[in-house]
Parts: sequence; C-alpha cells; structure tokens
Amino acid sequence: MTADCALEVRGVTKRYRRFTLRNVSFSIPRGYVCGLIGPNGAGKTTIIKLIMNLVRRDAGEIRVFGLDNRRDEVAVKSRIGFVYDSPGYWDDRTLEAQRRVLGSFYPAWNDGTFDRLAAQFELPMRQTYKTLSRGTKMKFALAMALAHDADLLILDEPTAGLDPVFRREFLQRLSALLQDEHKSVLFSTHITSDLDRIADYVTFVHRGEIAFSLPRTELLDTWAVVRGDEASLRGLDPGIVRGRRAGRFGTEVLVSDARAAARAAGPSAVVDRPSLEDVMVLMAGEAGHAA
Amino acid sequence: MLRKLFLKDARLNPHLFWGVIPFFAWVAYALREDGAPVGMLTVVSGVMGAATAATVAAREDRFHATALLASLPVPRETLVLSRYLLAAVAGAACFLGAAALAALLPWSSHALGSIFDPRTVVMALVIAGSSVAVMLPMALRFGLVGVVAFFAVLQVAGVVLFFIASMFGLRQPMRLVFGSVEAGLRALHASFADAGASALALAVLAGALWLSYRLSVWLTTRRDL
Amino acid sequence: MRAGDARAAESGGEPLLEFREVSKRYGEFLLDRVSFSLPRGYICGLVGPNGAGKTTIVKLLLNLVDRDAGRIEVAGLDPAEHETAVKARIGFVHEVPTFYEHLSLEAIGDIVGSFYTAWDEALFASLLVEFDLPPRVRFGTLSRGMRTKGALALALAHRAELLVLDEPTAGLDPVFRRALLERLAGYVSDGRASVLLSTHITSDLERIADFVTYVRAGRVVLSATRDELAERWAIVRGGPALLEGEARALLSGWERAPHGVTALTFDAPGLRRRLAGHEGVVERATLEDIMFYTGRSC
Repeated sequence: MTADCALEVRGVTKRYRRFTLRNVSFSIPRGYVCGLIGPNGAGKTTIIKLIMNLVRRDAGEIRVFGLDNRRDEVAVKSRIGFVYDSPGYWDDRTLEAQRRVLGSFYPAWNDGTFDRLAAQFELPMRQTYKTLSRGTKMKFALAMALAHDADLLILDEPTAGLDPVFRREFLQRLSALLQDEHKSVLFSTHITSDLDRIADYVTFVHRGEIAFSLPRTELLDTWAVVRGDEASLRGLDPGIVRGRRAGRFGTEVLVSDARAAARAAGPSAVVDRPSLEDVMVLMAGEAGHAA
Repeated sequence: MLRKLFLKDARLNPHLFWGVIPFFAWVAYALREDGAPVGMLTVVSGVMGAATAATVAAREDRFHATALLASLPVPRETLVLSRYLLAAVAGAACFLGAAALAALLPWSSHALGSIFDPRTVVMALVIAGSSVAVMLPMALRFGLVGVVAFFAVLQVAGVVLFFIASMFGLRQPMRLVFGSVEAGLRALHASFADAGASALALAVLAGALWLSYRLSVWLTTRRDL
Repeated sequence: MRAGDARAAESGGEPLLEFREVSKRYGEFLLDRVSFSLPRGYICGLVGPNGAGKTTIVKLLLNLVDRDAGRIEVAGLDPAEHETAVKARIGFVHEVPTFYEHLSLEAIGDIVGSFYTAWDEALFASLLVEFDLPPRVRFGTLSRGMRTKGALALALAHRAELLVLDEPTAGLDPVFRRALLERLAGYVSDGRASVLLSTHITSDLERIADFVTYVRAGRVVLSATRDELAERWAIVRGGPALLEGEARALLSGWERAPHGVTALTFDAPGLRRRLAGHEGVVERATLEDIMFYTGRSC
C-alpha cells in the first residue's frame, strides 16, 4: 500500500487546549477519491491543516507520495492543489494579479491550463477578489489548484454555499479530470450527497478520532439503517450497533451488519440501505454534535 | 524564490507604497526649517520603511493569506527571509527618498555630502535595523495584533516614563524625557565618527538581525495557522 | 416525514403567503411576474442559483425593497402598506446571523423582544435551554451553528407565523441540519405557521418541503407540491433517438453523454405513454436533477 499511496496518515496526534486529534490513521491510494466527513468540530479541517503542515503535529507520520510532509515540504506542496474553506486571497487585488504572482511559485504551473479553466468557469480576471460571489471565488480557487498539474487535490468544503447546479457541474468536471489523469483527491464536505457522486472511500471523523475509513460501496452495502419502535429493535446485537437516534416517528439504529440485523430485528422494523447522511447523522447521535 | 516573494509583496500591496507619499510630503515640509535635523529625518524614514514590511505581513494575516502562502511550495525560512528583505528594501528606499528630497529641494539647506555622511548612514542602519529586529518577529507571530501591540507598547512606555518622571517631582517631564532621548541619540550619532565604534555598532546590529531572523523562523514554524 | 394530510384538513381559506405577478427591476436584473403561494401549516422550499432572485423575493417580503408591480400578501396584508404588522408576523433567520456581536443572547432577546407584541420571554428562555445555547455568552464568540440556533430561537419566541430562513444550514453538518429540519417540521404541524426555506441543499428540502418554488433568472420555473414533482417530473435515460422523436416536446432539458442521453421531463405519464415499446428508462427526478437539467441542451 505504501508505495502506491497518494496520502498516508499514520498515528497522527495534535493537541489543542480544548480539543485533541488522536491517533488518526487513514490512506488514499493513488487515483482515488476519499471523502472526509464528520460533524462540525470533529477535526476534519485540522487533519487537512496537518497534511499541509499549517499546524505542527505532535506525533505520527504523514506521507504524500512517499515523502514526509515536513522534511520534504516544498516537494510535497508543489504536487498538491488545495481549495480551502476560507480561501485567503487578497480582497483588494485583481484575480489576474494574484494568478500571476501565486502561480509563479509552482514549477509545473501551466498558464494555458489556467486560461482554459478561467474561460470555462467564466472568471472575471480583471475584477478584484472582493467583488466576486462565493461561487466565483471557489471557481477561482479551483482553477488555481488545477493549473499546476497537481497529483493530489485537497478540497475543504469546496461546495458549501454553492447552488446545486454548480455543485453538480463541479463534481462532473472533477470526475472527468480524475478519470483521465489518475489524480487523487481528499474531499472534506458536509454535503454528503456530493460524496455519493464521487467518493471511492469515506473516512468519518468524530470527536478527534477516525470512526471508520472504508470503501464507500462496501460501507453502504454492508451497513444498514433499521427503523422501528423500541420493541422491534430490541433483538439487535449491540456489537453491530454503530449509532442510534430517536426521531419523530420512531427510533433509527445504524448497524454494521445488514444481514444480521435483518435476521434479528422484529417484523415491523424496516431495514434499509443507508445513505451517507444517515451514517453521519446516526453515528454522531443526538448528543454528539458540536453545533 | 526570494525574487518571486518580493514581487508578490510589490504587486499585491501597491497602495502601501502610495501611503508613504504623505510621509515624504511631511519630510519635504520639515526640510524648510533651518537646522532641520536631516539626520533624524532620514533615520525616521528608515524606520518607516521597516514598518512597511511588518504591515505587509499583518495585511496578509487579515486576509487569511498567511495560510495560503504557507501552503505554497516555499520553505518557511524563505518566507520569513523575504520579509526582512522587504524591510531592507523599503527602508533603504525611504531613506534615499528623504535624502533625495533634502538634497534636491530648493528650500533645503543640506548638501548631499552631509546626508550621506557616514555617521548618519550608520545611525539610520542602527535605528531602522533595530526596529526591524524587534517588530518583525512580533508581526510574524501575532499578525496585525503584533504590529499594533508594538506601537502600543511604545506608547505605554512613553506614558510610563512620563509618570515616573513626574513622580520624581520633575517639571515638564516630557521635555526631559525627549531631551534625554535626543541627547542619547546625538551621542550615539557622534560616536559613529569613530570608525571602530561604527563597525562595532554594525556588527551588533547584524547579530541582532540574525537572532531576530532565527527567532522569526522559530516562531512561524511553530505557529498554528 | 409527511404530516401534511392532517394539516390540509385544518388549513383552509387564504394562504399565509402569496406572491401574484410580482415584478422588480434592479438595474439589469429583472424579477419577472413571480407568482407562488404558501398555505398555513406547510413548508416551502425556495431554490435557485445565486443571483436568481431568491434574495430579492425575501427582501420584498420584508419590505426592504419596493416592488414595481404585482401583489404580495402576508396573512392578507401587504408588506408595503402594513409593514409593521407584517414584520410582527415574520421571523427571519439570515444566512450568517449577525446580531450585536458584543451582547449576549439574553440581552439581544431583550432588545429584539421589545419590538414584538407577541414576544414571549419565557418561551425564549426555554428555547435557549432546548437548543443548548448559553444565554450570557457574547454573540460574537458563538459558533456558526449556535448563531443559527440563536437566530431561530429569536424568531420562534415571538410566535412568528411565517418563518423565513435564508440558507440557514450552509456550512453546518448533517446532524445539525437534520435536527433543525425536524424542529421546523414540528413547528408547522399545528397548521398555524409556515416556513419559507431558501437553501442550496436540496436533499434537505426533499426531506421536509411540502412545496418547492424554483427560481431562475428572475422567473419562477416551477412551483409545485412534492407529490406533483414526484408524479410529473422524471429523469429518462435512453439513446439519442430520444431527442428525435415525439418525446422531445415533453423534455425540459437534457445532456448528451457517450453512452446515451439523460433527459428531464415535466410530463412523466405522457412520456411513458409515448415511449411505450421504445427504449428508455424512466426514474424519479430529484430536485437537484430538476435544477440541473432544466434548460440544459448539451
């Protein structure tokens, strides 16, 4: 796995005053898309910052294409295209100026690629950053991330605040790009339906730990949501229960073994394939979210 | 890499350079006075230039661009070094600008020779350099807050001095404080007549800047963005 | 999560909110004869791309801008003529709630509450407890999710009849979103109040909205009940022949791909009849599908 991994995070720990990211491990094989999901405050952005070495890790290892992200920081970063949640561009300068200045730092920067993307995204290159809508800002950040032939894309909530049409187009474009070029992607998002379209792997972060990191189809095929009243759910083996929630119309339980649950649950219970959103909501539970 | 970083600062912060113009206007005005302390003027402009670097860094912080820059394939040390470079360039530019005004303006009675008098140059380097050495680590670690804090500390120090002086029953303490500061600076300036003293001062300055640089690197690599 | 049937029985008479042929021009942008209505006890989702006119609609509702033409009625009152009365009935939750950053929720509640005759201080206090919000902490230090909850508590505490939420859940995780949606569903369940929810997260609307109004380029593209959407709109996949035959007239958009054509129809039963015997797989269209394919002809 090591040789063929775009990203490998092993045993990473980071301590803050009020929060600790503990023993985080997961990896992304080359050419695959990994979705990073979890409630607010779970640690997703911290993980991304650790990969980009914006914060120092207290323990563990992070390797990008086999290189240590601290020791070989410059080499690693020249292969990463990033889109952050709060993009951090200069408000009062034009897109053109920023593209020229920032692009120059990448050895593999390709003006032609950027121009093509800018045309496709209809970026108003002569306008100042501040005047752009959120969607356009994201498109600019994405164009910047894609124009230097990055092998690993790290996207932190890139589609938040964007309308569904643009989101879908964005994901389509991303998909197409990935198919052609064996790029790898780490995609952190709240909008789990986006991951349904594009993620090969799903890594769930909860309260500073990795709850699971699984191939998406395996997750959705073997796990299930069981809905019913308390009586019908009683027979479920606690060992396979990953989360539960009392809703308006009964209780929902998330189990990691759909077949066993189907056998054990009462006749009035309904066993369904979970959506990623179900998984997230039920794993986080009612007391779990840090809204 | 340093060149690219410098170009970045130049291109993305042009109006800071425009903001220096009012300062030069003041310099031009001040030169009207006979016996205007040209040394002082040029020195202060050196400091002004240095403050520019700190403000550029602080501005990046405001736009959260610091995280973006730290994500580019540029070593942190180089990013820090570019700040010192900017301070040097900006300081030199301001010094030369003020000197040019002093030399060229018809109402100024100072000849080029007296401006580029070695003592004045050394003085400017020492004062501007010290400001940079102190201000930059704070700006790089604390961003805009650091720059503001730096000036706030100066203010507070001034007020404290004022109170201490008045506690000792000294009348017109401000004049005393300014007087002694001015006297001290003059003495320093005078001491640079001696080549040895100048050389020593510059060596100390170099050491201080180097320490400041290492401190800045240490602070920024440890800073959680 | 459909408790609409019980509500339908109770709610009768005039709708709580009605827009009739409302137009507004803003420089180059034109909101063009927008019409939709929302009865009491229901949740209406407002969707559309940025700049389509959703925010303008909300501003018209709150009388922040003047309309050029048409009628707007909130509980039978025109917001332009009866501004105070209308605003007293509306609770508004902004996208990024910004109140007085240096004040606590308790203080904000006092200030805001003084403007509403129906303000219920005890209710506000109990909502703060229910939403797990610290009443004495400065608003500026609260997280985004807490701000949204705070804004919601303020809106609910004066027993607003019309809750208007503008992108309340952007940036919030599904856990919180689901709790919020359930709260909203509960709020309308007695048939007195309604919710207008403007959002990009269409999956949320699919969970909870009884009506959907889709606005694009200043016009209402569709305004339908959830049932209508499910019955009449569908995605059809087939070969290129799909675009050449009679079926084309029933399509509102499509996209060509190497493997075939994916299209959106606004008349699923009609399409099924015309396709009978021919190739074409017809399946449910999600709200996102509808937004994506409408007007597309790639």
